[in-house]
Amino acid sequence: MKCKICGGKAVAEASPEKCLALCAPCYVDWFPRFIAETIRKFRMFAAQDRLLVAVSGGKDSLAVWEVLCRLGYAAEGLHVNLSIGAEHGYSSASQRHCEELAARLGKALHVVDLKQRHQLEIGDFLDMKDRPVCSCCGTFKRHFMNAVAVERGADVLVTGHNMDDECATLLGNVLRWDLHYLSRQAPVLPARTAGQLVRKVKPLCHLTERETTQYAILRGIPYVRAECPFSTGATTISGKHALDLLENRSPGTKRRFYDGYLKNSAVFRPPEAELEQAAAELSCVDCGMPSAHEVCGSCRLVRFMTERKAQGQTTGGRRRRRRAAAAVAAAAMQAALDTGPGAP
Amino acid sequence: MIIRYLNRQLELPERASVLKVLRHLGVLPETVVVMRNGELVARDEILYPEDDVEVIRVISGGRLP
Ligand code: SF4
Ligand SMILES: [Zn+2]
Ligand SMILES: [Zn+2]
Repeated sequence: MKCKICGGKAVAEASPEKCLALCAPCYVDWFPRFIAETIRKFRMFAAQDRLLVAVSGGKDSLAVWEVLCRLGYAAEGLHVNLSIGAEHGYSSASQRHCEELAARLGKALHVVDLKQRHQLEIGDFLDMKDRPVCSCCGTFKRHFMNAVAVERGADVLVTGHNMDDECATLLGNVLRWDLHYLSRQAPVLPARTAGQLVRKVKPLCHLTERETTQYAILRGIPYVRAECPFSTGATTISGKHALDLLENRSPGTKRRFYDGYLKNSAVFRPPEAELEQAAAELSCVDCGMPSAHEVCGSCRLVRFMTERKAQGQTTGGRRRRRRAAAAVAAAAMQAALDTGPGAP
Repeated sequence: MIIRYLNRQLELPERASVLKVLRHLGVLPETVVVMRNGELVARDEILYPEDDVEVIRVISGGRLP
């Protein structure tokens, strides 16, 4: 295959609906231009806006941070460390990759560490009765991302969600007919409650995981390739698998699914005034962030677990903990086998 | 050629295109990238017996159980 731009030897392909195979220099040139176009199309932010990029240590968030810096934006990083798989270093490896890129970009990386802040780790939440650990993880991450963005005076919070993530989430929401989430899945979520809920944007929403991986590899951005030890069998992955099968049969399916939703999503959306009112109701008594309850979801989790630990009640789920420890060990084994970082 | 994929390592004695190798592994092309001797290669590339090939999964969010 020849590079569609310069006629050289192609080494990377864009997703099938884009009909684009490119050589390495043309690919690393095309990718930021495509993102710049997405930012413009969805009016994500302006040249002078202060961006905070939530980086997990994975390829997508690190790639988007690097690209935004290449495009000349003032973009700092934020990493939330929840001590995932602490005994096997999943979180520490993730943080290390974020720090490496921060040093290379010469940009500040802000780190929130659940252990340092609240003497808790995500493993403490494995034996919650009716709450999966991933749900607690999501609550903490969303909370800290917004709180740090407010603290730092960022205008916009950037996440590395790609088109595969968005399609899998959308599929899940449709399968459950979750009208609440269907009303608020968008590449841009505007700021609310006088900036206490910071504007959120997803510049990778029209790029696939394969496209971002190729970029990360070609730019030599090392990233964590091991998966989170708690992710095996997560519902998103089944959704992604189903969509991959459909995409393979009929290339362009994901893009049509996602764009079709964006075009029609207004039918799920309540009037703007209602959204503003719902968001503005209360401030959390613990952290001061906007909240639907007196104590926000994240602070409720902290309170609950801190109290339980103080009462020494964490042994209730000993069997569950043992199972979780086994899962962590298996994942660590997998991580060790997935040799090295993704970059050559 | 030696092919590394997830925790497996297999050998293919003959030359083959990247797509053919992926079919052999039962892998959907959009879910992986392929590296030959540490360099990214396109899907129509021919791989030779002396090549060291790594197939890297790109889908995040876990593995199917
Ligand atoms: S899989 Fe791991 S990182 Fe992802 S939400 Fe669950 S606990 Fe958090
Ligand atoms: Zn080229
Ligand atoms: Zn709170």
